[in-house]
Amino acid sequence: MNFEELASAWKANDQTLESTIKVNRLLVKNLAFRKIKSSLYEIKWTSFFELAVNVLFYFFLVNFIRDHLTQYEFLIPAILLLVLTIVEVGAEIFKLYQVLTLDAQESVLKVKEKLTLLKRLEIIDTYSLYIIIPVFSGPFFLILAKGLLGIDLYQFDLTWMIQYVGGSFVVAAILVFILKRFPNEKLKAAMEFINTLEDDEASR
Amino acid sequence: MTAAQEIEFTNYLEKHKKLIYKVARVYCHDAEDLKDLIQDIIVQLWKAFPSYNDKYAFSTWTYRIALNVSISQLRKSTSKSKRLEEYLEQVEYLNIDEQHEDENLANLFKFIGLLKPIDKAVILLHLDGISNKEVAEITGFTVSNISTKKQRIIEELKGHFETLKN
Repeated sequence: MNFEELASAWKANDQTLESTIKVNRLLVKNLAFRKIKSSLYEIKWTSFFELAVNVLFYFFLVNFIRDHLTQYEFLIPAILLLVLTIVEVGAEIFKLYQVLTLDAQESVLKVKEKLTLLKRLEIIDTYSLYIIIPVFSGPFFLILAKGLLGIDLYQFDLTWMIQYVGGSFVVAAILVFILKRFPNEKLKAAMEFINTLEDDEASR
Repeated sequence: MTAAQEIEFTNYLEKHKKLIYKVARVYCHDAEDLKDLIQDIIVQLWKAFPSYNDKYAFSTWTYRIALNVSISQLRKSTSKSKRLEEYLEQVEYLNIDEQHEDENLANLFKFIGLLKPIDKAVILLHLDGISNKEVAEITGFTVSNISTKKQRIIEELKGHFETLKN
């Protein structure tokens, strides 16, 4: 059977479908009363929570920096955290913007590109967490202890902190390596989605 | 949506029911998943209906939404219990009698199922007799790219049928 014959079989089936599919008019009419749960990309409400926490932390850090402009031992870790927070807020806003502007009426390619981008961001998000948590926890404790409780952690023996931060880099590298070799379910799903959607972009 | 729009939407659905079914059928092989996908497409169409852009033909607009919903469905990995829960409270906007597809048509669906998501869209539109210009409008690719893709996909499908014959 050649392709033209298949195309004819397809057309013949088209006529059969006309009689075998019936619109449930009453249910369609009731669509307005049903709780509609359908979107091209699920909005994670934790994103809004994360954004709010990061914005609050941003203001906390700005105040902290203003109060410790001459104390470099606090200023430098606070600036590091501030940069990280700005990047996080920016990334979160960008992600939310992409989700909220995802429109099913756009061309297939445009939607596909957005969905792929969102999945890539999900992957980056997961990987970056494994780096951010160990690497930035040292400065985080330092600033939080000083800013909220007024405790200067430098007055204690700092050898543990130096070892902790140094070790964190090693732990982060190992975690990312393991995650790359054995991705978790969420990451696997995100990667599979991107692989399925991969197309010959160069030929556009 | 106003009462008049609701009637308009129902009539629109009547006119495009085959299109919706075919798109869903190309992306789903499991009967239950197919029902879920059809529901999702109709819900998206219903949500978008009041903001329908008459720059496009109704069919172009419908293909875009149906294809986008079908492709994004690939990400969904619903747990079995959740699926059962959804199934129990499921309402069906389209009632579909059992389909008796002849062997060749069933194979065609099977082989289309092996294609990449975008390629599935291109061949579906081709089989539905949509012009290259309109396919380009729906998918976002250029017209020349569409004809190249189409040739490649047809060759791929022919290859599958050849293998089947041998």
